[in-house]
Amino acid sequence: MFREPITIVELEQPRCALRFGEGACTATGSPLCYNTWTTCRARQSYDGAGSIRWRFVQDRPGLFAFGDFSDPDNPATNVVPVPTLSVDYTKGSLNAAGVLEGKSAFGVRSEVTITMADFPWDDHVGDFYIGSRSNLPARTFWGVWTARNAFYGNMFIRVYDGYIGQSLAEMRSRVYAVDSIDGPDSSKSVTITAMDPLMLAAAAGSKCPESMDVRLTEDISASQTTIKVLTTEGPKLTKAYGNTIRYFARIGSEVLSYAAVTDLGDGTFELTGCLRGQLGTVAATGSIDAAFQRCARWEDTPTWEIGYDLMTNHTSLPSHFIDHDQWEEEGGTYLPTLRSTATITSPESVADLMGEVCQQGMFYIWWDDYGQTVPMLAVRPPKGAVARLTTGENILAGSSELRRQPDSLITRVFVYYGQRNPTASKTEPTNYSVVSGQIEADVEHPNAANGPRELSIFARFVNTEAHGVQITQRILNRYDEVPRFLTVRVDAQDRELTVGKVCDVTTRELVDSEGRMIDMRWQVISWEEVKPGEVYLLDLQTYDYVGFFAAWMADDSPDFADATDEQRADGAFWAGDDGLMPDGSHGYLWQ
Amino acid sequence: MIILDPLLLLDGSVNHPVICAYPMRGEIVASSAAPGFDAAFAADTSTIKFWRPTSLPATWQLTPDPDLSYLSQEDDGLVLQEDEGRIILSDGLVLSYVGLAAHDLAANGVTVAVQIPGGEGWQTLLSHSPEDNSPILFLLAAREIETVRLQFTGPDGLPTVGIIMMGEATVFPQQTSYVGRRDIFDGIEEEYSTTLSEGGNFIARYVTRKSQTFNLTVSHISEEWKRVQLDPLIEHLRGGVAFVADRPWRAPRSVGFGQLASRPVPERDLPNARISVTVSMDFIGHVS
Repeated sequence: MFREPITIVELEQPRCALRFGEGACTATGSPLCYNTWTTCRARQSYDGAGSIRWRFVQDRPGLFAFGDFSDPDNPATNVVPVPTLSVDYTKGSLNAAGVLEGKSAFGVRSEVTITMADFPWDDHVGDFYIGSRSNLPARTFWGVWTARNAFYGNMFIRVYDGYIGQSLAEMRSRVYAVDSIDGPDSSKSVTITAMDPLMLAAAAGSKCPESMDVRLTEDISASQTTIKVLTTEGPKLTKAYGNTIRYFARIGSEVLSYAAVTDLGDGTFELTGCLRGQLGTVAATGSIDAAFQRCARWEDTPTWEIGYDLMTNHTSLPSHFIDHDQWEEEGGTYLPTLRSTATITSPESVADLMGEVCQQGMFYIWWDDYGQTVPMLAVRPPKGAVARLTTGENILAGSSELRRQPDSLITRVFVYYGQRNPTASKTEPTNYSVVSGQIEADVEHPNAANGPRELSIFARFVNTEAHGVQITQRILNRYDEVPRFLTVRVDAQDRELTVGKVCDVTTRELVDSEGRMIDMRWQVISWEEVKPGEVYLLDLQTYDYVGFFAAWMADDSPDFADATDEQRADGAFWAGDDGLMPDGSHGYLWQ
Repeated sequence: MIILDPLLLLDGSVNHPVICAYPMRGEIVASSAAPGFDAAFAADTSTIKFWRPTSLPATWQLTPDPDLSYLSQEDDGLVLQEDEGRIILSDGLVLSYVGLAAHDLAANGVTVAVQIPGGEGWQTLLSHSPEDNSPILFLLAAREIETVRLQFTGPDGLPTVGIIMMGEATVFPQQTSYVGRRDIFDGIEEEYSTTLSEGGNFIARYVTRKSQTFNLTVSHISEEWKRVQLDPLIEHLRGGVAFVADRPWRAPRSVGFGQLASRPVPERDLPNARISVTVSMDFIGHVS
């Protein structure tokens, strides 16, 4: 029994849903358009609701009649065998558990580079007006495609991997946002570069609150409660940045709030019901032409919900990539007590804000290649059964490699919270009213790590001691032993193990003090196709958690000895005086 | 698979190699066609365009246009007339082969029949229910036709067909050499890889590369046959595709569909004009 791996590349591009010169389309003249923005002769009428999906495969045997032409405004072509088609990945990685300082919340972006040779093309599909054109020269696909599409916004690459005999629906697929298309060059080669869609969220232009050009129209006093501003960006004065009913803004070092906005015409707006000197700042006078900047403020909001708001409302990432139900279930179950009240008084990149929110909200996010979503996972022990990798059945010969990273050891964590003034430096310790910390003295012992390894967190999104304690505890749980990283190669039978997944691994590199192989739990932080459909490389990080998360059970629930595995996993039972359960496992943690 | 007209068994050249090219062109009518899977696509020599009906039974009919098709070949050496770049040897549209490739008939349990008008309806000349999706070549006793159709029948699955070609086969005057020959389907080359666990267990096996090449070598061809038949055929195959069968009767599975890998150069081995020429033709095959 054998399988034949196959990789199919699909380029999805938007197109106009109208027809040249018909209905709402006012275009005239020639040549007729190709339903693309670049070739449109009446852009004021352009309707971008259409699309087309171009499909390619490396020139190989097979029948690839996977076209779908049922919707003429959104067709998908048959798969075109193309010489020298290659798909190369730069693997992304997860910034695991706790989101350490200096690393983006988004981890390392994964990138795909697709190279293929240009090929003769007769427009038998994709051109609504082929019958009306005459004297067309011999032409090539990418030659005319690049002439018809000068921009790549809102274009996506979808990579299907599967086996001969499968339909497209049976294959796995990953989606990437097109970043650039180069060529055809002198060797007729075209290169498409695309990145996972989190690129859209991590882009430098994604800021919260947004930059804006809003200025005072006159000098104001420190007590004035009606203020006039001048701007061409009127909607930003009432746009939601956060979840407050009143609107917050900053002038100089002062934060104020206002209740309503009236458009006075000619770009002048009147802000009424102003409350001056808010959030620990001092009311002050202001000069004509002084900058006026909206602030983002969330009040008593689950910290994970702030992350959701940032991702969906303040980046260009399409919202359908984020499943709020999944985030809510995860956050509602494991992070219910982590709530934040925070204010951001000047435009900051969403990527940086998400770094803080993930770290202080005790969760992390990544791009799920095959789920094609951005899942959220709390920093917690895994629930339920996990996959198992062993030397006998899974780990490929000669592929496992164990590394230790003592530089990532953390022995003490300090959380500065209760920010005094949102306009002052966020990394100045004196700008916080409380510092909470924990030290693992045993680990710092001269016979152990021989000294402290400190992590300080300036937590704008933390307001309570309980929140601060949870942060320190979860980080130390994960990092108070030298983190270990394991790289293995596995067969396609284990290719469901992608970034974020947890597994138990037994390998000769992991033994106890007496040399016996031990089971350890790991999390996939990076994943790569070595040979598509055949061999995959997994980078794993230790996933050590002590204890289980407890939850109240019904009055008629059984004792621990009589409980099912599911009841033990989802419920809670009193531990013995030694902190252990009757079967010797660790006790439950009340949060 | 090659399906032989029983009448050919009376022909002494039934086991001679054939190259089926020179496709007829004309009006195409199908019983139905799914959106994006036009009937005309099957007559295109590209294997990235397909015809697919929307229901069974389905028919695909060609009424050849003499102005667009290659007309009958004759093997008694008439002087060639060249008209607009086509080889016209005599009048009449002669059918002696029907070929299908780039199809999934076997996967859908579909039977295909070659039919011509007969009586009050259509007469089935040959039919076949393929067991795999390899090329199908019907070889018929040559006859002049005005129209011909294929009928597809089956239980459920709708077939997809990339290539339908019809026309007159070029039958070589000699059989292929037996020694050194290999069946066309044996020309499918595969490379494999196997994943092996750390503990020494075989986990899985994969086909990493697959392709098909095949060769047709015929010796003892006369100078006249070379001039009248072989040279025009080579010229046509420079830009065309063909079905190739090297021993139609004795090796019915030995048929391929493809293009020349390089331009063949006929050579002379013997100082006798009636049997002097040898030609070796390498093809790149299409594998479904």
